[in-house]
Amino acid sequence: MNCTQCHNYLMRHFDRNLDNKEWDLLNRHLHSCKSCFGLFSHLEEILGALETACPPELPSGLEELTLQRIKSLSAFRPNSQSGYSKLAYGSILTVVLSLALVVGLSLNNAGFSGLILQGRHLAYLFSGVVIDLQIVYRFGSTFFQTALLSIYHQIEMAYVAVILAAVFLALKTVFAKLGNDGETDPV
Amino acid sequence: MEPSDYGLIQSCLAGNQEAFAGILNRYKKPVYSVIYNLMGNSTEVNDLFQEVFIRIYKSLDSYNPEFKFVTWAAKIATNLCLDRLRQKKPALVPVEEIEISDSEANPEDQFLARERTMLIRRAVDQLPEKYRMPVVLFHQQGVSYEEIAGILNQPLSIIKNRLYRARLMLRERLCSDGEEAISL
Repeated sequence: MNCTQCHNYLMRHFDRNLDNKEWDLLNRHLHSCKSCFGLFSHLEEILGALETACPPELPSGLEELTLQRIKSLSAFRPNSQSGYSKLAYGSILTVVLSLALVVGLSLNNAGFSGLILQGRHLAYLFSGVVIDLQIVYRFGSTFFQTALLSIYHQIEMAYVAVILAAVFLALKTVFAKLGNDGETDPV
Repeated sequence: MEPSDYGLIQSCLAGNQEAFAGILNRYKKPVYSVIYNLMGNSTEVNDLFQEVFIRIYKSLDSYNPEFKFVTWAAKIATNLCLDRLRQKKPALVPVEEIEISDSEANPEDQFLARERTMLIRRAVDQLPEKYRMPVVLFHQQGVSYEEIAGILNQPLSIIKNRLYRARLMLRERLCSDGEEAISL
């Protein structure tokens, strides 16, 4: 074994990754090489001191203080709502983008009067939805007949429902956030 | 029978306040040890200890039970310590704060052992961060190579090289300070 191989074996020895046969080879070299023996002795002392140093003791009261600080965090509830937050903020974004699209298209195509027309169109949609539901209820239409009732209306109903849900979720998030901003972390 | 780490975490996420106290009690010593050995300053250690467990508490839902909880906690502690170290240089540990494990030695031997340990601690503190971290985690915390690689987000080969290099640097530094200082 030469000194370069010995250094490699030394490192593996301190990794606790040397088998008996390899240790014998290393030991034989250490007995014959003063330089490598010196390196081995120093490393053994240094690393041994690090490994056997007493673990530090926690100051008294630190554990209780930490727990108290955690309990004082708002609601003492771990963050298990990250998925919900993403949905809420996604809803806000959906509403904003939809409004921007409607406003942008209206202004682009027909100016403010176009915007007013869009508002009327939305009101018509709502009334159309109500009328459709009344027809279904009054005449006891079957599912097939209901499906035939203006495909266009059904698609718009779904669109309105999604927007309404997004608006509701967005408002709920905003009000909840405004409520939480009032609480301060006492630490 | 003691509940598992994952059981405690699930209980905590379900709203059981006592469950996190159980986690804190179970891992306070290894976490404190990591921070203490990396930072070497008692005031910062206490603050960081609290910050680590607050961060652990806030991130419980992201814990992956495939890995040991202590490794995950050590990773959070190491990252926080790294952030703090990059802001300021840590102070050296005063001699009085270094515990010597051999309580049966005579006072002179105790003094010499304390001096030696202080020199070694100082040499470790003076290592660049990327070399100090593997030394502290491997030789003082008993963390495996694979776990260190996960904690520091580095390939295994890099960790090995750095640890080998760190050992040689410690030896060079301590030998240049006076060979007799570290010998019995």
